[in-house]
Amino acid sequence: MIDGIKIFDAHVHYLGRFKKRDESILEYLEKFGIDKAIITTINKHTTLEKFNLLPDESSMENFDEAMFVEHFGLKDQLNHDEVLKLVQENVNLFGFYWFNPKIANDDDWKLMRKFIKEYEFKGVKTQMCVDLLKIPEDLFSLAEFCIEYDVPLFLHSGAGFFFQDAFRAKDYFELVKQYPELKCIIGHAAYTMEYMINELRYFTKFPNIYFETSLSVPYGIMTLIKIMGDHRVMYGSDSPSATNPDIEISKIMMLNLSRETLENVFYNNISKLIGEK
Amino acid sequence: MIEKNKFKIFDAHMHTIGIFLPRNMSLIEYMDQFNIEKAILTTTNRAARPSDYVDKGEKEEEYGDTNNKMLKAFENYKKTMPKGQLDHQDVINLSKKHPDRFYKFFWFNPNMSQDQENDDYRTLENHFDNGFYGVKLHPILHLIKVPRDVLKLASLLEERNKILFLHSYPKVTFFNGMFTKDIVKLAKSFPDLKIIVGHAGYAMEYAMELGMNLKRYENIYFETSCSIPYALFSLIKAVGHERILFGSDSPITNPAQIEIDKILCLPISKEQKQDIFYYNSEKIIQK
Repeated sequence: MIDGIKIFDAHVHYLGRFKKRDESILEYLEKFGIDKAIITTINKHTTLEKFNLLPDESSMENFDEAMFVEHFGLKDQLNHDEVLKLVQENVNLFGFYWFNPKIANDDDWKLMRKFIKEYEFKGVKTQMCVDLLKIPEDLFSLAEFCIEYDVPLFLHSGAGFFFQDAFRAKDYFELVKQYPELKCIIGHAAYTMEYMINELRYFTKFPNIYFETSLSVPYGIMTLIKIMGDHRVMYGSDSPSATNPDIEISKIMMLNLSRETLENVFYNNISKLIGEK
Repeated sequence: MIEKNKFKIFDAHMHTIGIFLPRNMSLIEYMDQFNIEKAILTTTNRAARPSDYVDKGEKEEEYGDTNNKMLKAFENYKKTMPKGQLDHQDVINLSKKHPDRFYKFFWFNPNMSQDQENDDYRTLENHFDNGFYGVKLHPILHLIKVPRDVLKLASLLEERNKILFLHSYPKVTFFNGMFTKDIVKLAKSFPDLKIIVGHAGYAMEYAMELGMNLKRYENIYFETSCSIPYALFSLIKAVGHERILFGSDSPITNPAQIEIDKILCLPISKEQKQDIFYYNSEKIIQK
């Protein structure tokens, strides 16, 4: 809680560079006044160290998706055992299952179903960039899965690597217009002003599309709240892997918003979306 | 009251006005709050208003027509592109008042008609003659391709030992992004041109690519505003901290404090932080 406002972080990983090694994720979150959090796993394959060992520029001309897969070895779904343990031991942590539909076999779908039904994970996260997903075609089955189990689908925003298509608001629009009942969270929703401006164009009239604020530009967050409404924007930090929560919290706190708006953005919206009792 | 940051700061990316500058406060007072001693300063595009892009009143059946939406988005976007060059009197006035604190940059639009070209370049040269240190380019706002549309400009800047500030942005619906390979081509063609890549860590993948593709070009520097802390850490690992310049893009898109905090939280030494906050920018300006 910060200044009497409860904080529910909609985007946390169980590990990351900004958490001290001897600190638990709970201690870390508590340090920043976070009451509750959506928590997911982390991709340990696409590390900085591995990236810095990539071929030099002369080879970059030929670098493609196949070489990327070979270099980073993204052949299996990510493991969620640590996240499950945390969620089962802490009532204030809610799991999201990171799923790559492109490489999924029947067992992978079964396992995810088990995490949602049996372990009560509250949503599904996708990461288009490192999982090399094409939007919208790689997400159709996952969208249907999320509708069936009535859980939100978290869509990561990003620039894409040079050998990929970028993830444009238009591409997400192509997905959601086919599934108007699908609840989506667009992560890093205002990571650049240009991207946010495209969202304004496509999603004003889609009430099931929510916008998560981590790694966003403050002016972009303010514009989203103003135009989409304070019931569709939710605070997230992407900590401790990308940054610290205090930076992400400050971006919203310094926008001179009403207390009611702050309560919605920092807590109520994500709480309602996952159907918290 | 904001607690004063202990590092002295040379901000490589500031604008004259913006929503995060309190109405009753001057830019100098704003800078003093954060210990920003010096800044690269440019003007502001007053025509850009995000609300212009909102889908206003289209009928339900129009949702299905993506091309139609794209056209409308592009039409609205064009409204935010001022024709000709922006007026820089605000930059000149501020710098005249505080000559030891500001380094003037001209926000240049190279997308002009042939008739206009001579006049626009003459305007730019006049500003150089009056102490402007470099040019800021916003490729998406002016719909220009790098390097194709900036060869004349880059040649002029290299010849006059001026700095080029390139604004980074992602691919959007109606315009392709500026890729790291495009910057490589520019850096190769103009080895003596000092280039600052703005918003260098705005996405993890972009920062990783910058590091990978541009580490060998020592005429390239990386500015930190609107970046992800881990992306900055990644860049530092790849190219070394000496080529990283602190920038805030304040008071337009960010309050300066947030951008300062992003450097403070990095797992690097105090000396490296001080270089990023101040000395790296000072060096490139003095070169």
